[in-house]
Amino acid sequence: MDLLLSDEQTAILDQAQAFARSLRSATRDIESDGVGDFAGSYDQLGFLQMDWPESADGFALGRRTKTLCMEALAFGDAAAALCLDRRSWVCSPLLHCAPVAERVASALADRHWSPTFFVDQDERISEDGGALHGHIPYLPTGSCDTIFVLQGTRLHAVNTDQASLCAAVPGALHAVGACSAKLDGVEPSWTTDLSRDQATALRGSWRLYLAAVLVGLSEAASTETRAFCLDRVTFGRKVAHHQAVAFLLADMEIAVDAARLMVADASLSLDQGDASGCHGAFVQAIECALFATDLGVQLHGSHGYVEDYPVEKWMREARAVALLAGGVDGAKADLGDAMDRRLREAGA
Amino acid sequence: MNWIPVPGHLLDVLEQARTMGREHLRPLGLTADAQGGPHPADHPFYQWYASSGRMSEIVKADLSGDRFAGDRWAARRTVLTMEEHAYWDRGMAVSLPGPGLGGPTVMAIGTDEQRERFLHPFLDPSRPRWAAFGMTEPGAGSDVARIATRCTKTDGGWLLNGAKSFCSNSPRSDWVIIYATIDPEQGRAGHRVFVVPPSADGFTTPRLEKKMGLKSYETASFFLQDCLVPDDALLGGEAAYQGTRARDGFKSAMKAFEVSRPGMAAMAVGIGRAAFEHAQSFVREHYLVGRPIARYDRILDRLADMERRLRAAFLLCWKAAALLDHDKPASLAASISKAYAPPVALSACSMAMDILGDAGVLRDHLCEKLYRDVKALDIVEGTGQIQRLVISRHLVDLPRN
Repeated sequence: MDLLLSDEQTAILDQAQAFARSLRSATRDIESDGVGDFAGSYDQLGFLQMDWPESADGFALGRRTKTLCMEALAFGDAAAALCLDRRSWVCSPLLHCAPVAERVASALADRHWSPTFFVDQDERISEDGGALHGHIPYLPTGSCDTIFVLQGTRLHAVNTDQASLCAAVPGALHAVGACSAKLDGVEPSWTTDLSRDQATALRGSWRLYLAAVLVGLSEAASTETRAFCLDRVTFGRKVAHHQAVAFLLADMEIAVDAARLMVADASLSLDQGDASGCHGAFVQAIECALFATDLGVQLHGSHGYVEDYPVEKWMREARAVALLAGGVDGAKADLGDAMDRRLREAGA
Repeated sequence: MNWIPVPGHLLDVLEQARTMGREHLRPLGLTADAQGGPHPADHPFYQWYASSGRMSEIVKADLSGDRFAGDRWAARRTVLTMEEHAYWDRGMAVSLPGPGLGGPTVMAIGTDEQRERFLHPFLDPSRPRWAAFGMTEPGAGSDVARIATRCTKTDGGWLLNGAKSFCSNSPRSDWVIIYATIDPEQGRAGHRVFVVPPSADGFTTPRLEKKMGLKSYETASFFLQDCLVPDDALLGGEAAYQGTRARDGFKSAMKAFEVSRPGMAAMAVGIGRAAFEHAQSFVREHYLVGRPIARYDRILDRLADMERRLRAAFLLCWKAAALLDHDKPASLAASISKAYAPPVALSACSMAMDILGDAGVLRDHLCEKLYRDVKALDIVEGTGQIQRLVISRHLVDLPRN
């Protein structure tokens, strides 16, 4: 596994980091007002199509490059990154899923088409004679044209003019928007039965992008907390120089490094057609983000609990991102299934 | 199983380690554990190891310069090999003949004549040889700057006085690297590094420690009581410790640790992998085919968790090794790998015992031994807490006092 970046990747990462800095400086506004003027400049960067296949007018730079960018953008502002890049992180996994790639590519030709997805781990949606019934309590978007619903191995594309969307009020990720959807006998515009491997890979790919976002959030919490603890003095020395605190800062760094490498490893494997590492990378990133952002608030003391510092926002955001795409239980279910399969194959 | 796609040019090395592990390290490790002590130095396996050229290969690499200079894969090859060796038996891997950490130390500060004198004998495949590394003391474990063994210049050489603890392979070694100080008040600038044969007068008979695991190599403690060594036993000669080179002795140790920490971390991963695979086979044989049980889903969850964390740990080792191979600063990454991997591996061994249920406590099962073996990895060559000190110094410049 080559952990070193190519010159091209380094240049792209520099660009992403510069953009992320501008996002960060506007963080408070973004939380309340959406991404505003950033959408135009983000489109110009060309990050959206970065890992799309060439058949979908993408640059085919691979998931490793894309996840590097997602991590960098999330370091600036996770919610803004998810909002600005929505068409990409929702659609890229579909563009790499052979049975539906063409359909999704043609939908993307409409530059205003807005999709989202829902991984139905808990059988919230039922199917009756081809019509869908059920309630999706949270979608990370204020509005959208299509909801891709993945139920086991069945993928439905639901046009939202058929569903009733209601604005929802989430505790985090405000820039992304939020709504709930009620499906009351909705006929999907199309339904495709994927193979088990294709469905697992699709869930894995979605999770990989979210994992990159979680690593970016964790890195933000780790870096900001370190700076705070170096700046503030208690009992005659910098907070960071109390060993109890220094060790926690070290643990944050260790956790971030481990999660980042898992995302890198899974991205490289996915570029080789193997999605099996994505679920583990997601779980690792979730554990890391929940640990690092909580610790970030903790080490800021009371300052961490108030909105003057961004760490409380990151703690809320980490919790929210970690619930998407089936959350940790969904990812663990896929990991467990894979393990079961391996045991059975080895025993056969 | 491999944690990463192994580059083609390393496959032979890995296969060689795997074969030796399966045929020798695992069976000999199990018998050493059962008998509660290591195999003797004249055991046919060690003779075979030396005559196969494996012992001299490492020394040749040392003598060619810095073992880790000029070879873009040396550290990663080491990580890969150590992980594989530890998978089969970490204790036996440590017991393998060779100069161990003494090699890089002699190369770092020894003169050409000393390199020739101390390392060239290891090129002879006719018999196995060992060397040992004596830094830890009863009062200075992780804090190597506080070593108290005194060296005093005297007519015809140096007098050494002090105690050394937990020195691996020392009873069977041709020589032991001894870190001593001319004056503890001088801190690291006072350090001197000697090469001392255990047969020297004043080098007391090493006392073998009784360990909870890792029974297949000797861990010994000994005293140096007016132990007289000649001037040419001082590595590099006195000039090596003067002026800007005053801290070379300490730096050589730190350099050796920087290189060995990802390897130690990889050894922890190897033990964890052994536990993971042992648990997998147990589940396959006992719970999947014969008698499906209610907690099967939780077992799958645990197996997946073990594999995920061990993979992350290996990736940290690999990253640190890659940095070393590219001559980039690696101290932080090395410490991160060493801080992360051993607890993860311990947890894997513990989970494996959970999966086996009450049978897990029995010595019939490998994971019981692995659980005892793996704990040492969070202690040796810098405890997890020392790694966090190193990391904290990098991150926030944590003061030393």
